[in-house]
Amino acid sequence: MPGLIHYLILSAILFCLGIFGLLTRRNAVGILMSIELMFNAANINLVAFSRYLAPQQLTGQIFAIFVVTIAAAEAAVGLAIVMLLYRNFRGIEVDKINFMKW
Amino acid sequence: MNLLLFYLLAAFIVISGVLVVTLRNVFHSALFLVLAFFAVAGIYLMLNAEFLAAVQVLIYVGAVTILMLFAIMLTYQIQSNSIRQVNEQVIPAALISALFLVLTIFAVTRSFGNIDRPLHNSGAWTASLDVADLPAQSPQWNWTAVLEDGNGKNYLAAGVIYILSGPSASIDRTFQIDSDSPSGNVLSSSSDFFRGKRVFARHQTMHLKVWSDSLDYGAITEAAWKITSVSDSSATITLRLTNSNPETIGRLLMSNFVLPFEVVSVLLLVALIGAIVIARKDA
Repeated sequence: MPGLIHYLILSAILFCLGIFGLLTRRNAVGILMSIELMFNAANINLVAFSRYLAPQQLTGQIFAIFVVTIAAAEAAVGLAIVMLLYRNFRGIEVDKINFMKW
Repeated sequence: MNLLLFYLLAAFIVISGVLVVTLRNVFHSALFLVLAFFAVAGIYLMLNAEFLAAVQVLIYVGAVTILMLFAIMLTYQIQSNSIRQVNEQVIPAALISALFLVLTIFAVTRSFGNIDRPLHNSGAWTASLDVADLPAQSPQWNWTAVLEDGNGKNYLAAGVIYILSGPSASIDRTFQIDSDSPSGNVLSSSSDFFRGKRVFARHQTMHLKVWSDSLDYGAITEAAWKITSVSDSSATITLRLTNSNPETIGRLLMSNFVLPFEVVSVLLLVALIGAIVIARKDA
C-alpha cells in the first residue's frame, strides 16, 4: 500500500506542472487547463490527508467536492471571458491583450 | 500490487500533465487533460473515495474538458500550429516551478514521510438504541449487528432483548470485532452479554460500541439501528454499520455541511448567469 508521502509527492509534481503551464502558456485556454491541473493536485492532497489522517471523517472528500464545484464555475466564467476576448481582439493570446496595462 | 497500480496511475498523470503544458496544439493538450483526469479518478478509487471518483469523471471529464474543447474550436484555428504557444519566460518559469517542487517535496517528506498507513486504524462506532422507540406490540426483540459493505452483509453479533417495564437506566456495552475473522465473532470479553438474553426496561437506552483494532474499517462512518421486521411474536432490529461512501457523503452534505452546500449552489447559479451574461452578444 502506498504511503501518504507518495500521494503528496504526486500532488506536488502535478501542482508544479500547473505552475509551469500557467507561467508559460500564451493561450488563455491553455492557462485555464493548467489551473485545472492545479485544482486536481489540491484535490489529491485533500483526499489523501482525509484517508490517512482522519479516515472516519470524510471532511477532506467533502471539501474536494466543493473544490470540484468551484472549478466548474471557474471554467464556465473563464471560458465565457475567453469567448468575449476572442470576439473583441480576434485572438486569445494573453500577452497581446494588454490594454489594461499601464 | 497496490504500489504498482499507484505508480502506473502516477505515470499516466505526470506524463499527461507534461504533455498538457508543453504540446503546441492546444486541442491535443485538452485530450491529454482528459487522460490525466481519468488517472486522477483512479487515484481517488485507490483512496476509498468512490463518490469523488464518479464526480471527477462526470464533471471534469464530462463537462469541463468538453467545455474547453468547445472554446478551443470556437476561438482557435486548429491548423494554426505556426502560432507560438509559449512566451519568452520558459526558462525562468521552469526554474521557479522546479525550485517550488524541490521545496515542497522537502517539506512534505520532513513532515509526513513516516506515515505509511492510515492513522487511527482502529475504528469505533457508537450506536444508541432507545428501547422506548421500539413499538410496544412485541415483548421480544431479536437484534443483530451486521456490517453492510460492497461484498454483502457480514454477520457480527446477535442477541435477544426482552422489554419489561421498569426504572429508567442506560446500558453501555462494547464489543470488539474479531480481527482474525472479520465476518465472524465477537471477542470473548463481552460476548456473553450478547449470547445471553437481556431484559431491558422500557426507558432504557442501549449504547453499543463497535470497535476493531486491526481491521481497516476506515471507510465506516455510519452506525445506526434499524427496525427490519416487526410481528406480534417477535421482531428484529439491526445495527447497521455502513461503509457506503456515497451514502455517507450524502448524509454529511445534508447535515454537517448543509450551509456550505447551499452557498456553493448559489455560487453555481451566479456563475451560470454570469457566464451567459458575459458571453452573449449585445443586442
